[in-house]
Amino acid sequence: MDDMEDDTVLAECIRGGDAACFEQLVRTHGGRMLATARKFMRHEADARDCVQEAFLSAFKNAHRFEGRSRLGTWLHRIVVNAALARLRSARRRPEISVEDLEPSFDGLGSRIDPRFESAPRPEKILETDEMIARVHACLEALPDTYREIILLRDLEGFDTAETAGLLGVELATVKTRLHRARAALKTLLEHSDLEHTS
Amino acid sequence: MKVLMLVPRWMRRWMVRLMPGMPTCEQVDSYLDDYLDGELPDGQRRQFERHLRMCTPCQRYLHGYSQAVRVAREAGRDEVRNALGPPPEELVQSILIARAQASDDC
Repeated sequence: MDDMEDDTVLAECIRGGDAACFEQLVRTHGGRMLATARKFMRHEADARDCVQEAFLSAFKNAHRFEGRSRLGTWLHRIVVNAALARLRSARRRPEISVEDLEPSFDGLGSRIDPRFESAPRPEKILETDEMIARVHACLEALPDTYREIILLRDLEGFDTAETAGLLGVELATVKTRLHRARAALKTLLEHSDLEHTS
Repeated sequence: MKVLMLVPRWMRRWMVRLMPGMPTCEQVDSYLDDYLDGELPDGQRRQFERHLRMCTPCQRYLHGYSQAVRVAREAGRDEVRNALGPPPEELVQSILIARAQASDDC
């Protein structure tokens, strides 16, 4: 039996109310789903709640799994949706202005701001754990709208169409927000490198 | 290209502004993601690269921008690699209890 057939059998088993099957699902996929939830949630407790919500949703909606994708892919999307829903319902925190982090151009469209010519570059972040921590610290500083886009496109690997579907926005909106978010992240990483090397 | 580098930077910037058909830095900035994804049509890509050859600030900016995207993607991949173990037992039990309660409610 290949992997897709295994997934279909497992989904059938869960639809049938088999508790052992469901436990197998949780133990097999829970680790990766928790890793995903942690990228979106600021606190471990929220990430775990997110995963729990996702598995309950999977249990209630097992009849919707049609076997066209891997079960892990289906669960990944469920936990991402759960995380996005939690982010939207959370109380808004004071946000920095992303405009302050974007490049500047003069009246003729030429790039200005000499600091971009002298700032250290993000590739100087070498140690993996330090890199992950610094990327997340910079992402934390972004407004939620832009943070979500980078999480979905660059950290989770969804393409533009999938991201648009998850966020309920147009493709052009995803592209514009992504561009601004990446520009802001670049600036924040450069500033964080300056703080660490000065 | 090497000859161009002998031209003072301020002069190169004016050459970029005055050359017919040369996109501005701001226009180039708007194409960055399509360029990095290999999705720029050939004609636009050639113009984009022609601008880059002339414009040091845009060269540096593109380098920093693409590096920021790279480290973000690496952070995502590393996190998944680091989290390939099973979920915490406490979380597993919490999910199983919630599932049992949901079953009772049905």
